[in-house]
Amino acid sequence: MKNYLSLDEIREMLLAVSTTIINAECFLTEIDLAVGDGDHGTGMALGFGEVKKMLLQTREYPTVKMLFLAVGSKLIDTMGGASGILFGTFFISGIRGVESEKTLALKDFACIFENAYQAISARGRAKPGDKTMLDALYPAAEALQEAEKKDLPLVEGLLLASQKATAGAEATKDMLASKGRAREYREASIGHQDPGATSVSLIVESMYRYVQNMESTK
Amino acid sequence: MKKFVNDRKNLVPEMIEGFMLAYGNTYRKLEGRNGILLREQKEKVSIVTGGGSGGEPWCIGSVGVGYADGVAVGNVFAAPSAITVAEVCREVYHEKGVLLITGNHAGDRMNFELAVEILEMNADIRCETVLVTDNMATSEVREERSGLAGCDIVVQVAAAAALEGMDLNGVKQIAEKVNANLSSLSATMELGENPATEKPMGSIGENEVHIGIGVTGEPAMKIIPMCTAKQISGVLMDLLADDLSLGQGDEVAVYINGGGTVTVMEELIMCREILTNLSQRGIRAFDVNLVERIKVDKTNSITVSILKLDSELKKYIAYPARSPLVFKHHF
Repeated sequence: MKNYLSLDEIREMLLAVSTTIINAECFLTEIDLAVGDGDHGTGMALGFGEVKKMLLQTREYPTVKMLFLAVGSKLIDTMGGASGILFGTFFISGIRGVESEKTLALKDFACIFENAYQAISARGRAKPGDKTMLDALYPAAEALQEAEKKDLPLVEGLLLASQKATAGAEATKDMLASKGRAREYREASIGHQDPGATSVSLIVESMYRYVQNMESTK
Repeated sequence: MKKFVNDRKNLVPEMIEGFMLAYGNTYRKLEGRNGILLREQKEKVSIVTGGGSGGEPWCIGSVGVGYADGVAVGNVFAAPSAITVAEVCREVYHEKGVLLITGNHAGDRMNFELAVEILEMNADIRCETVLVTDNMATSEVREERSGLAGCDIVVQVAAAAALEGMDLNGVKQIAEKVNANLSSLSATMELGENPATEKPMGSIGENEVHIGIGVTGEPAMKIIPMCTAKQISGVLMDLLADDLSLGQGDEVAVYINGGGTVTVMEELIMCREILTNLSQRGIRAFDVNLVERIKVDKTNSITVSILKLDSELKKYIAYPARSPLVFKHHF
Protein backbone atom coordinates (compact mmCIF):
# COMPACT_ATOMS: atom_id res chain seq x y z
CA MET A 1 0.00 0.00 0.00
CA LYS A 2 1.27 3.41 -0.95
CA ASN A 3 1.84 5.57 2.05
CA TYR A 4 3.45 8.59 0.53
CA LEU A 5 3.27 10.62 -2.67
CA SER A 6 6.33 11.50 -4.74
CA LEU A 7 6.86 15.08 -5.91
CA ASP A 8 5.46 14.32 -9.35
CA GLU A 9 2.48 12.49 -7.85
CA ILE A 10 1.79 15.55 -5.67
CA ARG A 11 1.84 17.71 -8.79
CA GLU A 12 -0.56 15.28 -10.48
CA MET A 13 -2.80 15.37 -7.39
CA LEU A 14 -2.94 19.17 -7.50
CA LEU A 15 -3.79 18.92 -11.21
CA ALA A 16 -6.69 16.65 -10.29
CA VAL A 17 -7.80 19.14 -7.62
CA SER A 18 -7.64 21.95 -10.19
CA THR A 19 -9.74 19.99 -12.66
CA THR A 20 -12.34 19.22 -9.98
CA ILE A 21 -12.71 22.91 -9.10
CA ILE A 22 -12.84 23.98 -12.76
CA ASN A 23 -15.59 21.44 -13.40
CA ALA A 24 -17.51 22.64 -10.32
CA GLU A 25 -17.76 26.25 -11.53
CA CYS A 26 -21.53 26.22 -12.14
CA PHE A 27 -22.28 24.38 -8.93
CA LEU A 28 -20.19 26.80 -6.84
CA THR A 29 -21.77 29.79 -8.63
CA GLU A 30 -25.28 28.59 -7.75
CA ILE A 31 -24.34 28.18 -4.10
CA ASP A 32 -22.73 31.62 -3.99
CA LEU A 33 -25.73 33.36 -5.54
CA ALA A 34 -27.76 32.60 -2.42
CA VAL A 35 -25.49 34.46 0.00
CA GLY A 36 -22.97 36.23 -2.19
CA ASP A 37 -22.52 38.05 -5.45
CA GLY A 38 -22.39 34.83 -7.45
CA ASP A 39 -18.73 34.98 -8.35
CA HIS A 40 -17.19 32.29 -6.13
CA GLY A 41 -17.44 29.65 -8.86
CA THR A 42 -15.99 31.92 -11.53
CA GLY A 43 -13.17 33.10 -9.29
CA MET A 44 -12.20 29.59 -8.16
CA ALA A 45 -12.34 28.26 -11.73
CA LEU A 46 -10.19 31.16 -12.89
CA GLY A 47 -7.63 30.65 -10.15
CA PHE A 48 -7.40 26.88 -10.45
CA GLY A 49 -7.46 27.23 -14.24
CA GLU A 50 -4.24 29.23 -14.02
CA VAL A 51 -2.82 26.74 -11.51
CA LYS A 52 -3.61 23.89 -13.93
CA LYS A 53 -1.87 25.75 -16.79
CA MET A 54 1.16 26.34 -14.62
CA LEU A 55 1.35 22.70 -13.43
CA LEU A 56 1.14 21.44 -17.01
CA GLN A 57 3.78 23.88 -18.25
CA THR A 58 6.20 23.50 -15.36
CA ARG A 59 6.56 19.85 -14.41
CA GLU A 60 9.68 20.06 -12.29
CA TYR A 61 9.75 21.65 -8.84
CA PRO A 62 12.83 21.47 -6.59
CA THR A 63 10.79 20.70 -3.46
CA VAL A 64 7.21 20.26 -2.24
CA LYS A 65 7.51 23.67 -0.59
CA MET A 66 8.32 25.39 -3.90
CA LEU A 67 5.39 23.62 -5.56
CA PHE A 68 2.95 24.72 -2.85
CA LEU A 69 4.28 28.29 -2.81
CA ALA A 70 3.88 28.49 -6.59
CA VAL A 71 0.28 27.23 -6.38
CA GLY A 72 -0.59 29.57 -3.50
CA SER A 73 0.92 32.66 -5.13
CA LYS A 74 -0.82 31.86 -8.40
CA LEU A 75 -4.20 31.72 -6.61
CA ILE A 76 -3.66 35.03 -4.75
CA ASP A 77 -2.51 36.72 -7.92
CA THR A 78 -5.14 35.35 -10.28
CA MET A 79 -8.21 35.44 -8.09
CA GLY A 80 -7.67 38.38 -5.81
CA GLY A 81 -10.61 38.83 -3.50
CA ALA A 82 -11.16 37.12 -0.19
CA SER A 83 -11.21 33.65 -1.78
CA GLY A 84 -7.90 34.21 -3.53
CA ILE A 85 -6.05 35.14 -0.41
CA LEU A 86 -7.66 32.49 1.79
CA PHE A 87 -7.15 29.59 -0.62
CA GLY A 88 -3.69 30.96 -1.43
CA THR A 89 -2.94 30.97 2.30
CA PHE A 90 -3.98 27.29 2.46
CA PHE A 91 -0.99 26.41 0.29
CA ILE A 92 1.52 29.09 1.32
CA SER A 93 0.99 28.76 5.07
CA GLY A 94 -0.02 25.11 4.93
CA ILE A 95 3.36 23.91 3.71
CA ARG A 96 5.22 25.91 6.34
CA GLY A 97 6.79 23.55 8.85
CA VAL A 98 6.44 20.45 6.67
CA GLU A 99 9.89 18.93 6.93
CA SER A 100 9.67 16.51 4.05
CA GLU A 101 11.24 17.93 0.90
CA LYS A 102 10.24 15.52 -1.87
CA THR A 103 7.34 13.46 -0.54
CA LEU A 104 4.12 13.81 1.41
CA ALA A 105 2.91 11.16 3.81
CA LEU A 106 -0.16 11.17 6.07
CA LYS A 107 1.66 13.07 8.82
CA ASP A 108 2.58 15.77 6.28
CA PHE A 109 -1.04 16.11 5.15
CA ALA A 110 -2.05 16.46 8.80
CA CYS A 111 0.61 19.16 9.25
CA ILE A 112 -0.49 21.03 6.12
CA PHE A 113 -4.15 21.06 7.10
CA GLU A 114 -3.41 22.14 10.67
CA ASN A 115 -1.08 24.96 9.56
CA ALA A 116 -3.58 26.06 6.93
CA TYR A 117 -6.39 26.10 9.46
CA GLN A 118 -4.38 28.25 11.90
CA ALA A 119 -3.25 30.71 9.24
CA ILE A 120 -6.67 31.10 7.62
CA SER A 121 -8.33 31.48 11.00
CA ALA A 122 -5.88 34.28 11.89
CA ARG A 123 -6.04 36.02 8.49
CA GLY A 124 -9.81 35.88 8.23
CA ARG A 125 -10.35 36.44 11.96
CA ALA A 126 -12.77 33.54 11.99
CA LYS A 127 -13.30 30.29 13.84
CA PRO A 128 -15.42 27.16 13.31
CA GLY A 129 -19.13 27.99 13.58
CA ASP A 130 -18.79 31.31 11.77
CA LYS A 131 -20.06 29.67 8.56
CA THR A 132 -16.84 29.86 6.56
CA MET A 133 -14.40 27.52 4.81
CA LEU A 134 -13.04 26.72 8.29
CA ASP A 135 -16.16 24.66 8.97
CA ALA A 136 -14.93 22.13 6.43
CA LEU A 137 -11.20 22.68 6.98
CA TYR A 138 -11.18 22.20 10.75
CA PRO A 139 -12.95 18.81 10.73
CA ALA A 140 -10.64 17.67 7.91
CA ALA A 141 -7.56 18.72 9.91
CA GLU A 142 -8.88 16.93 12.99
CA ALA A 143 -9.62 13.78 11.00
CA LEU A 144 -6.09 13.69 9.54
CA GLN A 145 -4.55 14.05 13.01
CA GLU A 146 -6.75 11.23 14.34
CA ALA A 147 -5.77 9.04 11.39
CA GLU A 148 -2.08 9.81 11.94
CA LYS A 149 -2.33 8.84 15.62
CA LYS A 150 -3.93 5.53 14.62
CA ASP A 151 -1.21 5.04 11.98
CA LEU A 152 -3.77 4.50 9.22
CA PRO A 153 -2.83 4.16 5.54
CA LEU A 154 -2.72 7.45 3.62
CA VAL A 155 -5.80 6.63 1.53
CA GLU A 156 -7.90 5.90 4.63
CA GLY A 157 -6.77 9.09 6.33
CA LEU A 158 -7.79 11.12 3.28
CA LEU A 159 -11.14 9.30 3.08
CA LEU A 160 -11.94 10.23 6.68
CA ALA A 161 -10.84 13.83 6.07
CA SER A 162 -13.02 13.99 2.97
CA GLN A 163 -16.07 12.63 4.79
CA LYS A 164 -15.61 15.10 7.65
CA ALA A 165 -15.06 18.03 5.31
CA THR A 166 -18.19 17.22 3.33
CA ALA A 167 -20.25 16.87 6.50
CA GLY A 168 -18.78 20.14 7.76
CA ALA A 169 -19.72 21.95 4.58
CA GLU A 170 -23.28 20.61 4.74
CA ALA A 171 -23.55 21.66 8.38
CA THR A 172 -22.93 25.28 7.37
CA LYS A 173 -26.46 25.32 5.93
CA ASP A 174 -27.92 25.90 9.38
CA MET A 175 -25.33 28.41 10.55
CA LEU A 176 -25.75 32.18 10.71
CA ALA A 177 -23.08 33.90 8.64
CA SER A 178 -20.89 36.25 10.64
CA LYS A 179 -17.98 36.83 8.25
CA GLY A 180 -17.42 38.14 4.77
CA ARG A 181 -20.16 39.39 2.53
CA ALA A 182 -22.58 36.69 3.69
CA ARG A 183 -22.85 38.22 7.15
CA GLU A 184 -24.80 41.12 5.70
CA TYR A 185 -27.52 38.64 4.85
CA ARG A 186 -28.01 38.01 8.57
CA GLU A 187 -30.89 35.53 9.11
CA ALA A 188 -31.33 35.09 5.37
CA SER A 189 -27.98 33.29 5.32
CA ILE A 190 -29.50 30.35 7.20
CA GLY A 191 -30.53 27.49 4.93
CA HIS A 192 -27.71 28.07 2.46
CA GLN A 193 -24.43 26.15 2.37
CA ASP A 194 -21.25 28.24 2.57
CA PRO A 195 -19.42 28.42 -0.80
CA GLY A 196 -15.93 28.47 0.73
CA ALA A 197 -16.63 25.41 2.87
CA THR A 198 -18.06 23.67 -0.19
CA SER A 199 -14.88 24.36 -2.16
CA VAL A 200 -12.74 22.99 0.67
CA SER A 201 -14.79 19.78 0.75
CA LEU A 202 -14.40 19.40 -3.03
CA ILE A 203 -10.63 19.88 -2.72
CA VAL A 204 -10.26 17.27 0.03
CA GLU A 205 -12.51 14.82 -1.80
CA SER A 206 -10.43 15.28 -4.94
CA MET A 207 -7.22 14.56 -3.01
CA TYR A 208 -8.77 11.39 -1.64
CA ARG A 209 -9.98 10.24 -5.08
CA TYR A 210 -6.55 10.78 -6.60
CA VAL A 211 -4.82 8.60 -4.01
CA GLN A 212 -7.64 6.03 -4.19
CA ASN A 213 -7.26 5.81 -7.98
CA MET A 214 -3.53 5.30 -7.59
CA GLU A 215 -4.21 2.42 -5.19
CA SER A 216 -6.78 0.76 -7.40
CA THR A 217 -4.78 0.97 -10.64
CA LYS A 218 -1.68 -0.65 -9.17
CA MET B 1 -28.98 43.42 -22.07
CA LYS B 2 -26.76 44.56 -24.94
CA LYS B 3 -23.36 45.86 -23.81
CA PHE B 4 -20.31 47.48 -25.40
CA VAL B 5 -17.90 44.67 -24.49
CA ASN B 6 -15.85 41.97 -26.20
CA ASP B 7 -15.27 38.69 -24.35
CA ARG B 8 -16.55 39.04 -20.79
CA LYS B 9 -13.45 37.22 -19.53
CA ASN B 10 -11.33 40.22 -20.56
CA LEU B 11 -13.37 43.09 -19.10
CA VAL B 12 -10.74 44.38 -16.66
CA PRO B 13 -7.61 44.04 -18.85
CA GLU B 14 -9.37 45.73 -21.77
CA MET B 15 -10.73 48.48 -19.54
CA ILE B 16 -7.19 49.19 -18.31
CA GLU B 17 -5.81 49.08 -21.85
CA GLY B 18 -8.37 51.70 -22.86
CA PHE B 19 -7.38 53.91 -19.95
CA MET B 20 -3.66 53.52 -20.69
CA LEU B 21 -4.03 54.23 -24.40
CA ALA B 22 -5.86 57.44 -23.57
CA TYR B 23 -3.77 58.64 -20.65
CA GLY B 24 -0.42 56.87 -20.92
CA ASN B 25 1.40 60.20 -20.94
CA THR B 26 0.17 60.91 -17.39
CA TYR B 27 -0.05 57.38 -16.00
CA ARG B 28 1.99 54.22 -16.16
CA LYS B 29 0.95 50.62 -15.61
CA LEU B 30 2.94 47.95 -13.83
CA GLU B 31 4.27 45.22 -16.10
CA GLY B 32 2.05 42.14 -15.92
CA ARG B 33 -0.07 43.51 -13.08
CA ASN B 34 -3.18 45.63 -12.77
CA GLY B 35 -1.49 48.46 -10.92
CA ILE B 36 -1.62 52.05 -12.22
CA LEU B 37 0.43 55.00 -10.97
CA LEU B 38 0.95 58.65 -11.74
CA ARG B 39 4.10 59.11 -13.82
CA GLU B 40 4.91 62.18 -11.79
CA GLN B 41 5.51 61.07 -8.21
CA LYS B 42 5.84 63.88 -5.66
CA GLU B 43 8.18 63.72 -2.67
CA LYS B 44 5.52 63.40 0.00
CA VAL B 45 3.58 60.72 1.82
CA SER B 46 2.07 58.64 -0.96
CA ILE B 47 -1.51 57.44 -1.01
CA VAL B 48 -2.24 54.00 -2.41
CA THR B 49 -5.75 52.69 -2.83
CA GLY B 50 -7.46 49.79 -4.53
CA GLY B 51 -10.45 47.59 -4.77
CA GLY B 52 -12.56 45.50 -7.09
CA SER B 53 -13.67 46.55 -10.55
CA GLY B 54 -17.31 46.84 -11.56
CA GLY B 55 -18.05 50.14 -9.82
CA GLU B 56 -16.19 52.58 -12.09
CA PRO B 57 -15.12 55.39 -11.79
CA TRP B 58 -14.10 53.66 -8.52
CA CYS B 59 -11.19 52.62 -8.25
CA ILE B 60 -9.34 53.12 -11.53
CA GLY B 61 -10.54 56.75 -11.41
CA SER B 62 -8.98 57.44 -8.04
CA VAL B 63 -5.40 57.97 -9.15
CA GLY B 64 -4.70 61.58 -9.95
CA VAL B 65 -3.57 64.99 -8.80
CA GLY B 66 -4.99 65.54 -5.34
CA TYR B 67 -6.07 61.86 -5.31
CA ALA B 68 -4.14 58.60 -4.86
CA ASP B 69 -0.64 58.21 -6.30
CA GLY B 70 -1.19 54.56 -7.17
CA VAL B 71 -4.05 52.09 -7.40
CA ALA B 72 -4.30 48.30 -7.42
CA VAL B 73 -7.25 47.26 -9.59
CA GLY B 74 -8.92 43.96 -8.75
CA ASN B 75 -11.09 41.65 -10.84
CA VAL B 76 -14.84 42.39 -11.00
CA PHE B 77 -16.17 42.61 -7.43
CA ALA B 78 -12.92 41.06 -6.12
CA ALA B 79 -10.16 42.63 -4.05
CA PRO B 80 -6.84 43.20 -5.81
CA SER B 81 -4.06 40.69 -5.19
CA ALA B 82 -1.87 41.42 -2.17
CA ILE B 83 1.15 41.07 -4.43
CA THR B 84 -0.13 43.80 -6.77
CA VAL B 85 -0.89 46.11 -3.84
CA ALA B 86 2.65 45.60 -2.53
CA GLU B 87 4.13 46.25 -6.00
CA VAL B 88 2.20 49.51 -6.34
CA CYS B 89 3.49 50.62 -2.93
CA ARG B 90 7.02 49.80 -4.03
CA GLU B 91 6.67 51.81 -7.22
CA VAL B 92 5.17 55.02 -5.80
CA TYR B 93 7.46 57.48 -4.03
CA HIS B 94 7.65 55.69 -0.69
CA GLU B 95 10.57 57.32 1.09
CA LYS B 96 8.19 59.29 3.32
CA GLY B 97 5.92 56.30 3.86
CA VAL B 98 2.71 55.06 2.24
CA LEU B 99 -0.85 55.39 3.49
CA LEU B 100 -3.02 52.57 2.15
CA ILE B 101 -6.74 53.28 2.02
CA THR B 102 -9.39 50.75 1.04
CA GLY B 103 -12.98 49.85 1.83
CA ASN B 104 -13.66 47.61 4.79
CA HIS B 105 -14.49 44.41 2.92
CA ALA B 106 -12.97 41.08 3.94
CA GLY B 107 -11.10 40.59 0.67
CA ASP B 108 -9.71 44.12 0.51
CA ARG B 109 -8.72 44.08 4.18
CA MET B 110 -6.91 40.73 3.93
CA ASN B 111 -5.05 41.53 0.73
CA PHE B 112 -3.98 44.95 2.01
CA GLU B 113 -2.83 43.35 5.30
CA LEU B 114 -0.76 40.74 3.50
CA ALA B 115 0.68 43.46 1.23
CA VAL B 116 1.85 45.43 4.28
CA GLU B 117 3.41 42.24 5.74
CA ILE B 118 5.22 41.61 2.45
CA LEU B 119 6.49 45.22 2.33
CA GLU B 120 7.64 45.25 5.94
CA MET B 121 9.46 41.92 5.53
CA ASN B 122 11.09 42.49 2.17
CA ALA B 123 11.30 46.17 1.42
CA ASP B 124 11.37 48.01 4.71
CA ILE B 125 8.72 50.48 3.51
CA ARG B 126 6.73 52.28 6.22
CA CYS B 127 3.04 51.71 5.75
CA GLU B 128 -0.13 52.63 7.54
CA THR B 129 -3.61 51.46 6.58
CA VAL B 130 -7.05 53.00 6.93
CA LEU B 131 -10.13 50.88 6.27
CA VAL B 132 -13.13 52.95 5.23
CA THR B 133 -16.27 52.06 7.17
CA ASP B 134 -18.92 54.45 5.87
CA ASN B 135 -21.93 52.21 5.14
CA MET B 136 -24.06 52.96 8.20
CA ALA B 137 -26.57 50.26 7.25
CA THR B 138 -24.15 47.41 7.87
CA SER B 139 -23.60 47.79 11.60
CA GLU B 140 -24.38 49.88 14.67
CA VAL B 141 -20.67 49.69 15.46
CA ARG B 142 -18.74 52.08 13.20
CA GLU B 143 -15.53 49.99 13.14
CA GLU B 144 -17.44 46.94 11.86
CA ARG B 145 -19.14 48.71 8.96
CA SER B 146 -18.41 47.98 5.33
CA GLY B 147 -17.14 50.58 2.89
CA LEU B 148 -19.63 52.08 0.46
CA ALA B 149 -18.97 55.37 -1.34
CA GLY B 150 -16.52 56.72 1.21
CA CYS B 151 -13.16 55.50 -0.05
CA ASP B 152 -12.80 58.20 -2.69
CA ILE B 153 -13.77 60.80 -0.07
CA VAL B 154 -11.12 59.66 2.43
CA VAL B 155 -8.50 59.39 -0.34
CA GLN B 156 -9.07 62.99 -1.48
CA VAL B 157 -8.75 64.48 2.01
CA ALA B 158 -5.68 62.35 2.83
CA ALA B 159 -4.08 63.35 -0.48
CA ALA B 160 -4.65 67.03 0.34
CA ALA B 161 -3.03 66.60 3.75
CA ALA B 162 -0.06 64.84 2.11
CA LEU B 163 0.31 67.66 -0.41
CA GLU B 164 0.42 70.08 2.53
CA GLY B 165 3.54 68.24 3.69
CA MET B 166 2.07 66.30 6.61
CA ASP B 167 4.00 63.23 7.77
CA LEU B 168 2.67 59.67 7.59
CA ASN B 169 1.13 59.65 11.06
CA GLY B 170 -0.46 63.05 10.46
CA VAL B 171 -2.00 61.97 7.15
CA LYS B 172 -3.26 58.78 8.74
CA GLN B 173 -4.90 60.74 11.57
CA ILE B 174 -6.65 63.03 9.09
CA ALA B 175 -7.88 60.00 7.13
CA GLU B 176 -9.15 58.41 10.33
CA LYS B 177 -10.88 61.66 11.31
CA VAL B 178 -12.70 61.69 7.97
CA ASN B 179 -13.70 58.06 8.42
CA ALA B 180 -15.00 58.72 11.94
CA ASN B 181 -17.17 61.60 10.75
CA LEU B 182 -18.45 60.10 7.50
CA SER B 183 -21.63 58.12 7.03
CA SER B 184 -23.19 56.90 3.79
CA LEU B 185 -26.58 55.41 3.09
CA SER B 186 -28.13 54.22 -0.15
CA ALA B 187 -31.68 54.10 -1.48
CA THR B 188 -32.04 51.48 -4.21
CA MET B 189 -34.94 50.94 -6.60
CA GLU B 190 -33.45 48.22 -8.80
CA LEU B 191 -30.57 45.80 -8.49
CA GLY B 192 -28.17 45.17 -11.33
CA GLU B 193 -26.06 42.19 -12.28
CA ASN B 194 -22.45 41.12 -11.87
CA PRO B 195 -20.75 42.46 -15.05
CA ALA B 196 -18.50 39.42 -15.35
CA THR B 197 -21.02 36.64 -14.71
CA GLU B 198 -24.17 38.51 -15.84
CA LYS B 199 -25.96 36.95 -12.88
CA PRO B 200 -28.50 39.24 -11.15
CA MET B 201 -27.55 40.47 -7.70
CA GLY B 202 -31.02 40.02 -6.21
CA SER B 203 -34.47 41.47 -6.71
CA ILE B 204 -36.51 44.37 -5.43
CA GLY B 205 -40.31 44.50 -5.49
CA GLU B 206 -42.13 46.80 -7.90
CA ASN B 207 -43.37 49.01 -5.08
CA GLU B 208 -40.29 48.93 -2.88
CA VAL B 209 -37.32 51.13 -2.14
CA HIS B 210 -34.51 49.39 -0.26
CA ILE B 211 -32.56 51.50 2.18
CA GLY B 212 -29.00 50.49 2.99
CA ILE B 213 -27.96 48.09 0.23
CA GLY B 214 -24.18 47.80 -0.12
CA VAL B 215 -21.98 48.03 -3.16
CA THR B 216 -22.65 44.57 -4.55
CA GLY B 217 -26.23 44.00 -3.53
CA GLU B 218 -25.96 43.14 0.15
CA PRO B 219 -29.42 43.18 1.79
CA ALA B 220 -31.18 46.35 2.95
CA MET B 221 -31.54 47.55 6.52
CA LYS B 222 -35.04 48.84 5.81
CA ILE B 223 -37.62 48.51 3.04
CA ILE B 224 -40.08 51.32 2.40
CA PRO B 225 -42.89 51.60 -0.12
CA MET B 226 -42.14 53.55 -3.29
CA CYS B 227 -42.55 57.28 -2.56
CA THR B 228 -41.37 60.74 -3.57
CA ALA B 229 -37.82 62.09 -3.67
CA LYS B 230 -38.74 64.28 -0.71
CA GLN B 231 -39.92 61.30 1.34
CA ILE B 232 -36.93 59.15 0.43
CA SER B 233 -34.57 62.00 1.35
CA GLY B 234 -36.43 62.41 4.62
CA VAL B 235 -35.80 58.76 5.50
CA LEU B 236 -32.11 58.97 4.52
CA MET B 237 -31.51 62.25 6.31
CA ASP B 238 -33.23 61.13 9.54
CA LEU B 239 -30.94 58.12 9.69
CA LEU B 240 -27.77 59.96 8.66
CA ALA B 241 -28.32 62.98 10.92
CA ASP B 242 -28.94 60.68 13.87
CA ASP B 243 -25.90 58.55 13.09
CA LEU B 244 -23.60 61.58 12.91
CA SER B 245 -25.33 63.42 15.76
CA LEU B 246 -25.84 66.39 13.48
CA GLY B 247 -27.40 69.48 14.94
CA GLN B 248 -28.01 73.17 14.53
CA GLY B 249 -24.87 75.04 13.53
CA ASP B 250 -22.99 72.03 12.13
CA GLU B 251 -21.29 72.19 8.74
CA VAL B 252 -21.15 69.27 6.36
CA ALA B 253 -19.89 68.15 2.98
CA VAL B 254 -22.56 66.36 0.95
CA TYR B 255 -21.88 63.74 -1.71
CA ILE B 256 -24.78 62.54 -3.87
CA ASN B 257 -23.87 59.52 -5.95
CA GLY B 258 -26.30 58.07 -8.49
CA GLY B 259 -25.95 54.56 -9.84
CA GLY B 260 -27.35 52.50 -12.68
CA THR B 261 -29.71 54.48 -14.91
CA VAL B 262 -30.41 57.19 -12.33
CA THR B 263 -30.21 60.49 -14.20
CA VAL B 264 -28.41 63.69 -13.28
CA MET B 265 -31.87 65.29 -13.17
CA GLU B 266 -32.87 62.87 -10.41
CA GLU B 267 -29.63 63.58 -8.58
CA LEU B 268 -30.37 67.32 -8.69
CA ILE B 269 -33.90 66.78 -7.41
CA MET B 270 -32.57 64.66 -4.54
CA CYS B 271 -29.99 67.41 -3.97
CA ARG B 272 -32.85 69.91 -3.64
CA GLU B 273 -34.54 67.74 -1.02
CA ILE B 274 -31.39 66.94 0.92
CA LEU B 275 -30.16 70.53 1.09
CA THR B 276 -33.63 71.76 2.07
CA ASN B 277 -33.72 69.12 4.79
CA LEU B 278 -30.29 70.19 6.06
CA SER B 279 -31.31 73.84 6.03
CA GLN B 280 -34.42 73.05 8.08
CA ARG B 281 -32.14 71.44 10.67
CA GLY B 282 -29.92 74.54 10.78
CA ILE B 283 -27.04 72.64 9.16
CA ARG B 284 -24.86 74.33 6.53
CA ALA B 285 -23.84 72.41 3.42
CA PHE B 286 -20.33 73.84 3.02
CA ASP B 287 -19.47 71.66 0.04
CA VAL B 288 -21.75 69.72 -2.34
CA ASN B 289 -20.58 67.02 -4.75
CA LEU B 290 -22.70 65.50 -7.50
CA VAL B 291 -20.01 63.80 -9.60
CA GLU B 292 -20.57 60.04 -9.51
CA ARG B 293 -17.72 58.24 -7.81
CA ILE B 294 -18.97 54.68 -7.70
CA LYS B 295 -21.57 53.20 -10.03
CA VAL B 296 -22.60 49.59 -10.25
CA ASP B 297 -24.27 48.73 -13.55
CA LYS B 298 -28.08 48.78 -13.50
CA THR B 299 -28.23 49.19 -9.75
CA ASN B 300 -30.60 52.14 -9.77
CA SER B 301 -29.73 53.84 -6.55
CA ILE B 302 -28.69 57.04 -4.94
CA THR B 303 -26.06 56.95 -2.21
CA VAL B 304 -25.83 59.95 0.08
CA SER B 305 -22.62 60.51 2.01
CA ILE B 306 -22.42 63.16 4.71
CA LEU B 307 -19.09 64.27 6.17
CA LYS B 308 -19.30 66.31 9.37
CA LEU B 309 -16.72 69.08 9.06
CA ASP B 310 -14.43 71.00 11.37
CA SER B 311 -12.10 73.82 10.28
CA GLU B 312 -9.27 71.41 9.44
CA LEU B 313 -11.43 69.18 7.25
CA LYS B 314 -12.98 72.23 5.57
CA LYS B 315 -9.51 73.23 4.43
CA TYR B 316 -8.75 69.84 2.85
CA ILE B 317 -12.22 69.35 1.35
CA ALA B 318 -11.64 72.53 -0.62
CA TYR B 319 -8.48 71.14 -2.27
CA PRO B 320 -9.06 70.35 -5.95
CA ALA B 321 -8.52 66.80 -7.15
CA ARG B 322 -8.83 65.31 -10.59
CA SER B 323 -8.41 62.18 -12.62
CA PRO B 324 -9.61 61.50 -16.18
CA LEU B 325 -12.77 59.96 -14.72
CA VAL B 326 -13.74 61.94 -11.64
CA PHE B 327 -13.01 65.25 -9.96
CA LYS B 328 -13.38 67.15 -6.71
CA HIS B 329 -13.90 70.88 -6.81
CA HIS B 330 -15.14 73.27 -4.15
CA PHE B 331 -17.50 75.73 -5.86
